[in-house]
Amino acid sequence: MVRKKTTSTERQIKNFMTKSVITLPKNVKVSSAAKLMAERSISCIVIVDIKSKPIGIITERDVVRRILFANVDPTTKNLEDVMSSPVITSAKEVDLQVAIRKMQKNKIRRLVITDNGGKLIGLVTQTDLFKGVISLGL
Amino acid sequence: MVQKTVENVMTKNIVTLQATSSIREAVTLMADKSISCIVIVDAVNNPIGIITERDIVKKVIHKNLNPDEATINSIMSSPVVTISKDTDILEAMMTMQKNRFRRVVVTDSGGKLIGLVTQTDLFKAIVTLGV
Repeated sequence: MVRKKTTSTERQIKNFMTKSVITLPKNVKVSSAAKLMAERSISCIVIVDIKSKPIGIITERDVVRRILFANVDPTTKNLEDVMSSPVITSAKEVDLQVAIRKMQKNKIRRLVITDNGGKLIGLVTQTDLFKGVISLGL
Repeated sequence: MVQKTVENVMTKNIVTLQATSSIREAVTLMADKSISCIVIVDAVNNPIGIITERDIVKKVIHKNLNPDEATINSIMSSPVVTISKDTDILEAMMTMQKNRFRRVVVTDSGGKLIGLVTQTDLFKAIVTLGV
C-alpha cells in the first residue's frame, strides 16, 4: 500500500468519525431499537444518559444473539437489559492506526468517541476507518 | 513491497448452509460460532447468497418473520459479489467500499467458494503484515 506523507492531524480519527450518532435512553424497548437499526441501516445504537454520556451500546450482533438466539421477546426487554456496558471509548485526537489496534485488542468493530467531559461526540466503525486507510494509507 | 493478496488473509473454513435451511439454523450457527455471516451454497459449493446479522435484524426481527418456518432463501442477499483469491488487498478494500459491503466472498477460477474476507481480516493484514 502506498504511504502518503500525512500529518498527525490528518490521521486523527475525528476526520473519519460519524458525528450524527443514533442514540437512545436505556429504558427503551429492544424492539424499538431493532426497528431503528433496520430503518436506518446502522450497525449499532449508543445508549446515553441524560447528560449525553455513553453508558452502553447495542449492535446487530447483540440483537441476533441476545434476542433471537436466546428466544427472547424484544418487546419485553429494555436496552439496559441487553446492552454491552461499559462502553470502550476513545478521544477524537487518537491516531487512525492506534484506533484500529484498540479495536483489534478488544475484538470490537466500532469505537465510541467522547470529549474531555465524557460526552458522546462521534462513532468510528471499521467502515469509517477503511475510508481513512484508503485515502491516507496507514 | 511484497504484494499481498486476499488468499493470505481470508478465512478459509467458512460456515455455509443451503438455501432451504431455516433461518433458525442460521441464527444458531452465527451465535455458536461468533460469525457475522453465513454463505449460502448450492449442491456443488458455488456461492449463491449470503446472510448477515443485518439481514436477520432487518428481515426477521423488524418484519416479524418466524425464524423456525421461514427459509434462508426468503431473506438472503443474492447474487453474491465475489472476488478471486489473487485480488490485491487494497483492491479488495476498494471493492468492499464501492459496494458498501463489510465482507466479500472469495472464489476459485471455477467459481467455487474458497474463502471469505471481512473488514476484520483486512485490518489484521494491514497491522500485522504491514501491507
